[in-house]
Amino acid sequence: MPDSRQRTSDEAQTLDAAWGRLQRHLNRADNFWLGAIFTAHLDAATTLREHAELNCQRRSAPFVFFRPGTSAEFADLLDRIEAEGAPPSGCTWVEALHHSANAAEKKAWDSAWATFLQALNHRRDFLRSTLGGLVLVAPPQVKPVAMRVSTDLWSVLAFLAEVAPIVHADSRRASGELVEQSTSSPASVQPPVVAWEENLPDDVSREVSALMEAADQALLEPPLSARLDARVRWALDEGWPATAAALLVRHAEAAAVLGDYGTAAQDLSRAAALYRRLAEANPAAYQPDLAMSLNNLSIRLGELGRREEGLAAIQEAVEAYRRLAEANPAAYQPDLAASLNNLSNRLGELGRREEGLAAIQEAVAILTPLAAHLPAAFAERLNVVRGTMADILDQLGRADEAEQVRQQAT
Amino acid sequence: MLSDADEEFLTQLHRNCELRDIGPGDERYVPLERYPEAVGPDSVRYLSRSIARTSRGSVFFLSGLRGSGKTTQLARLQIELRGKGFAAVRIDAEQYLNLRQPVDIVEFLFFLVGGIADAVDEAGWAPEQKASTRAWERLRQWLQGLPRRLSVRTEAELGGGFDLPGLIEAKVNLKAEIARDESFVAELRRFLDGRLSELAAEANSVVEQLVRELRDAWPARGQGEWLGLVVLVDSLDHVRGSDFLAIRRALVDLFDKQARVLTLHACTSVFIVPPYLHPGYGTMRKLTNIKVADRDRVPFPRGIEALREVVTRRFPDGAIDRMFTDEGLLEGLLLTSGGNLRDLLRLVTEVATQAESLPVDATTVTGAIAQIRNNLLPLSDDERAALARVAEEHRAPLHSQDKWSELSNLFDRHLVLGYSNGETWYDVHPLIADEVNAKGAPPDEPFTTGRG
Repeated sequence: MPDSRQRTSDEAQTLDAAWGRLQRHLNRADNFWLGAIFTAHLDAATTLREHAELNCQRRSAPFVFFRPGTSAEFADLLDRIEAEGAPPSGCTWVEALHHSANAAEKKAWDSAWATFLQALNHRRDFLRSTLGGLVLVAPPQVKPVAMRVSTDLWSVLAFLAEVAPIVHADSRRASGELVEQSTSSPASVQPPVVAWEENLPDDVSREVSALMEAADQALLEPPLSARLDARVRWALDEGWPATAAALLVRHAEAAAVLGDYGTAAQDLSRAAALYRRLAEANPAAYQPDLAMSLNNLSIRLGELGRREEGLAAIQEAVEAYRRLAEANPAAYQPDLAASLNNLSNRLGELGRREEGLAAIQEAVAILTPLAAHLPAAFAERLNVVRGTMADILDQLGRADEAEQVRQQAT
Repeated sequence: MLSDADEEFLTQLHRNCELRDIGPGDERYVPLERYPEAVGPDSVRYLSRSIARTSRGSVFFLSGLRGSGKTTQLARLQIELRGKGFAAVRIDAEQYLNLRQPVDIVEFLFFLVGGIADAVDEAGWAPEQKASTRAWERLRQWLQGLPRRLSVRTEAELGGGFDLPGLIEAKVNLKAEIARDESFVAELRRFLDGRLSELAAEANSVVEQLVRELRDAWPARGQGEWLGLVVLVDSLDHVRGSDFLAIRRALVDLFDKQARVLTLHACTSVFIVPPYLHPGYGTMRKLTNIKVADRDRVPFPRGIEALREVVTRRFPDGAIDRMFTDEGLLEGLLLTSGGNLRDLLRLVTEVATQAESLPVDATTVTGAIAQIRNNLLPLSDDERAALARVAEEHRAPLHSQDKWSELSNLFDRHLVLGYSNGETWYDVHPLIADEVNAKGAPPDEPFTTGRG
């Protein structure tokens, strides 16, 4: 029997892979089918929806889109679907992602999803007899809820995609550093990386959300930056360490975009220290955050020429990812490969090239089967890693082997 | 690359695997009773035989785990009984009752009577005037004819001051109100409190009248000798809801404490019930998943053969070898389904979805398995503990009655599958078996809050 555990990288499939599968369901089905997409990313959901809508247009099939604007709008959603949903040739798309940092709002949304799924479960026979494709797009935390409160519905689920961005190549570095984004794999059903405490006062929670969003969009102009600094100090003083760490990570990335690697390294160092303490108390929740902050800290230290410190950080990150990948290979093997790539870079910068080669060989070994199975998700990453490997082989005077490795890169 | 012909082939396969109820007569239907070593005794044949040999008023039960084909087997039973000359009708409880709330004998009797009349109409057996119209109307009139009671409740509690007969007069569709309006059902129960015997007598009277009419018209309809009416009640295993324990308790009470009232004397009844229901009367038959491996997970050839036939019939022209040329690959896929038919079809569909060329290779099959496996994850720690226990002991891991909700959820999500060879035994779904083995918490008191 094939060993599915070797291929669990599906949990981290990219948008392309998800669309490839969704497209086939849209094209081939001629009756009711149920799909579920779990993602924390509005842009991913939008891309898939636009593709699906276009697909339906090309086939002259109806596409009906529902997006409740508030959790309260879920109340009459099922009636609307029954009345307006697309017939068997078409697709009914229900999308409700919510990003509120306000604990009460978040709870209301999650609760609305649960109630809606229960009602959907109860009226599934009617839906099955009238609708075509029904695609539900929800945040990752809804998946375990759906599995438990709508078991009948779940048992007829035809399509499931969990769209989880994990790492991307940083094009600004010739050697190809792999930088982690400030998000976790939803497939692992961990709290989002750089999550912050949910029970923050509402006004603070709203401000934290706004600050993070601004940082994500590299809009952290001086006034905003000052506010973020002030909020970090407040969070530390008031005993909200996860909030402080999350803000520091975002601030670091925004600073790095502006070329201020010193600030970035300083912020990440502070964030790592906070996450280290949090992870001691709650490893399941904060180990991924610690590993991510150390990985990115190593890169910023490398950019500052502080190579020994950078090496220490990445070694700690690799060990953390190794533990995480042992427990959950699907979610963390790509992260482990990325951190090994960066370890190889740090070792190479210090002249420890043989050790660097061993690290990068391990990264290639991890990514090769993943890329073979899901090229859209991992081929680019494998190319970056192979590039690093070729560089090291060159530095070791093994030019022929380096050339061979480069040729393998597509 | 897939050619146009490949795409057409896979599209047809995809459609043939869509999850729809199919019964005998459909070219995709496989008479699994031909594989008794894998599916256990032929419950339908035994039920059919028992029904033919018992007098009217008998009650039978059919239970089984999800994906064991209960509804399909009920359809088969209906065909067998009709073939023998019985007037066999199927009624779906989910169409009449709100199964998310605890069910009471009051609305259940309304459902039985109304459902039977509706089904007789659908079968085209009713006399000139529709049976359903007359049955529902007779129930309505009976209700309206009952003496009104002085209420001690306040107007606010009455929600506007209505009483039930008045409400019924205003309601157009008694059937719809019972299915959808919880306040109406509550009012109905209150109004009939203490009048259960009268209700049961009225329900039996309506059904008896219907049976008399059917019996009188039967020979003229060319149906041969009148053997009796058999009512097959589907979907009572679909009880769901946030208060699972209350719902389960209500169902257990319904079939245990109210058995006398529930029995309709003019017909034979067969109820599909959840696995946790063990009424102390009637005859219970069970359906299980198809055994594809034994307790030590050694492949069981007859079960694999059965699944191969199920899958082959879904392929256009039975051309399974166009997708699978590697026998080991196909067998691996069949084993991975655990004998759960829905999962088997899902696996095949996913292979078709991921296929980039035909025949498929091991990478594609492995990718499909990983994808469907993901449907079953993640597991919580208590679920892992319970599943580890199932894997070890092959029993349902229930330590106390108040843990039925959790256990039922494992069954409903087909994390636990049931098999039969002599006795029913359980195993963890092969798709997640390695997850449980690798990370299973110590199987210490799953689903219990303490020892003792």
